[in-house]
Amino acid sequence: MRFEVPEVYRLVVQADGDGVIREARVEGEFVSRQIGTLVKTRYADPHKALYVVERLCGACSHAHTLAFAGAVERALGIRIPARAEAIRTLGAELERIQSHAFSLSEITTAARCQDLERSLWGAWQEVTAILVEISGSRIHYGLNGIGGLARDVPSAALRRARSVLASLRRSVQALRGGFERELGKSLAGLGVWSSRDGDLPGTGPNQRASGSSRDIRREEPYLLYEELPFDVPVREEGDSLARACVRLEEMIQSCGLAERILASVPAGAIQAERVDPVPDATFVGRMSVEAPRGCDRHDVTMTREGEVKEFAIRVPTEDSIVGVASALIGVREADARLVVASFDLCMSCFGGT
Amino acid sequence: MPVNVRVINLGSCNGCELELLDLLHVEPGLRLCERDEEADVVLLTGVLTEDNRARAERVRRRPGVPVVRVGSCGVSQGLFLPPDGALGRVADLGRGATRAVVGCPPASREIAAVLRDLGKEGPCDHA
Repeated sequence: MRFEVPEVYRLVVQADGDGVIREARVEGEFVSRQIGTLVKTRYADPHKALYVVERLCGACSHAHTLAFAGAVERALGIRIPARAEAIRTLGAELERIQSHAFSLSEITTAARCQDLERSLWGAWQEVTAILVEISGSRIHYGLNGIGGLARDVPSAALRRARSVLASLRRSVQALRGGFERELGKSLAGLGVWSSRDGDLPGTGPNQRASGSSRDIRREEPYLLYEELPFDVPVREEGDSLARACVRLEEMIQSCGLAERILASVPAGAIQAERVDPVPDATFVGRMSVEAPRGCDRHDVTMTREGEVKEFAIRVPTEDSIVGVASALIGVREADARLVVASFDLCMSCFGGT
Repeated sequence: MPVNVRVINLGSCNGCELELLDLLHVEPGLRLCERDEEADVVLLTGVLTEDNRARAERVRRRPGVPVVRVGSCGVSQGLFLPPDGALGRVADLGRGATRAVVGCPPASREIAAVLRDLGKEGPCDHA
């Protein structure tokens, strides 16, 4: 990772005389911003809390606000309108494309595949341009509000997005062959993550590169995913190449999903009529979403006045950290960086909570 | 325009880092360096968490190297500004900073514009 810097995370490895790693661990809570505490103590109004929750992570901020808003809405018994559901789902898939393009740009840089890197960053720029048109923002889109959307999105932007995504999907598809061939030279067989009983913790592209087909969008469908059938790309090898290839397939998949969502975005309200607790509200809510890196789970307990009383976040990197430590065993020290990059750890999420 | 850019993440959400990666693509002459000593310019991002305070202090004392605070967190701690100042204030770093780019995060072209301005000013004399 180009931002493998001491102030963000530290990779601690012990190698034998031949430079082969025998023990590894990743440390990284240096960027702790105590967001859970901050929400409870200073931003207990969930409408305000959304802004700080969004800033848990630059790469998957939409997933965090989705999980947080969803948890609050479940706790208070709020149902969001169809248009809001569609736009929220669209944001989630565009974010997956943006995040994977960034992640693959890191791994192709580490593997010194400059041409691929340029193409992938081009994809990042294209999807970022779509997001700007839709949300007005490149990184923290601010699309989600409690009870629906924070603001409506322009119809013209949605129409343009559909044709741009179709061409983006085709250009990412065209990378496939060269991608696997070029990256395979340095990543094939490197840093295998497997478990004896075949059961890996959590969900996400890292797990799906090791044979797991788990995906929260399928397991606990939310928003439009119930009625939106899609394939879950899975590889069995569990090596660094498989992790990269799964992400590339997911980019293509997400372009297709976004195109399908865009084909029929319902008109109408973007906000629930009331955002007060319903009479039989439980005041306890949980929402898990399939963020670009895997299962992101937010749990909230609300007060009767509709403020956040308890808040817990579980981020996908908590599972991938276990994976990277296991996959590094037996890898040469010189290759450790490639393996770490292939896991796409997010230390901002991991340390931020 | 400076060539060797050292980015120091003092507790960022990585949003600014994404824009900085984009900056490397829109300004191909720039290069990220990993060592403080090589830097022509230091960019600070993030809210200044307790764990990174010592590192921030060291950056501030390097003479001749301009420091640019990037993003709302780097400039004012943004949403994270504690009412009691308990976490320490990034504003303290302002003494060593010649420039600031606001935004959450600022777009790559906005950061590029500030770096271009720095290049016009020539070497920086502050301590």
